Amino acid sequence: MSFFDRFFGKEKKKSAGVAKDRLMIAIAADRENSRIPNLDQMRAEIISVLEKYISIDEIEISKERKGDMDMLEIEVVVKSTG
Amino acid sequence: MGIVFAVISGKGGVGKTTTSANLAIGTAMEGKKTVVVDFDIGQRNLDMILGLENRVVYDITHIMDGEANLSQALIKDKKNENLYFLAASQTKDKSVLERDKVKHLIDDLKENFDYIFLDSPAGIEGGFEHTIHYADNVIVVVNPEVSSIRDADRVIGLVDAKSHKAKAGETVGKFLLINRIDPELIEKNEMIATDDILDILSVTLLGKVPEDKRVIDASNTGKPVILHKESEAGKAYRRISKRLCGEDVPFEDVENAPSKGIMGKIKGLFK
Repeated sequence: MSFFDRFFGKEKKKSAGVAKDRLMIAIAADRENSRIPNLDQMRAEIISVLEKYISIDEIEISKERKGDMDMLEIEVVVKSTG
Repeated sequence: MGIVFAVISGKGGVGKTTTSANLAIGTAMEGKKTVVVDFDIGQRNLDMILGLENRVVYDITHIMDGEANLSQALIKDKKNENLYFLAASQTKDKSVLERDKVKHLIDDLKENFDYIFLDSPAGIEGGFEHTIHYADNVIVVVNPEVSSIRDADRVIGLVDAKSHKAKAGETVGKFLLINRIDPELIEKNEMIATDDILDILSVTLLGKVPEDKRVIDASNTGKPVILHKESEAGKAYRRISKRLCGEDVPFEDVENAPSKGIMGKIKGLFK
């Protein structure tokens, strides 16, 4: 808040600054959540293990944070035999 | 050998198709043999924006299916002999795009054109991946508002993971085009400024396009704004096109920064 803003009673922060602050935090969290080292390798290994037992159509891996807990979600779509 | 630009965004409705159309016309005006391809299968729009909707006989899905060859499907612009267009289909779904066939198509285009623009669908599904796979550069279109910027960060993060060029150890150029900037709101600090967007996304700025009511009129008539000499957005696209062709053009002053006046300058001293 600059001297003049205070002087003229403009106490409220302008919304562009609010937007930037909110974006910085949101994007930092997004990036953290999407970052898993060697994800491709991990995916390939998971697939090779699963394929010993079942036929796989698709596999989706995502990282999520719930409260203070990190969760790795692995969704496997099994090939339909019909 | 042509250069491939994928025009992408995270969020829809930010002006990807408008950007693809105008930059394709702009580079063609600069004398580059240019083709623009609509990859938004099932939601074709680029034909309308270019005013070529009545000329579409074959589209990209016909090429994929082998029902037409490239020269049959390419539409030559009436106004500019350097400009060609390849339509998306309005009916078939995205699954017609097969990676090998898309690669073959893009290789063909690279042999025949200097500049190839791929108008990507919004988001990260289907057609988006196809435009990224073989792109030399991506142009990320963003509006100065939170959801568009956040979603842009997500797609920028995906580019290297999906790009063949990046996998081969080469660099994929990532350029930001900020569209629909409202100078008045920027002046009042009620719209995120260019420098702040660049801070957040850390990509190279390609250009800034101001909000311009003529864009609506341009889509109504099928005559893109770059062809309207008095349009501010059109002028911006013209300059960006020159930049893409290697000309050193200073950035558009769409934010009108120097007009702060004496009070603004005095205030600045007390910050």
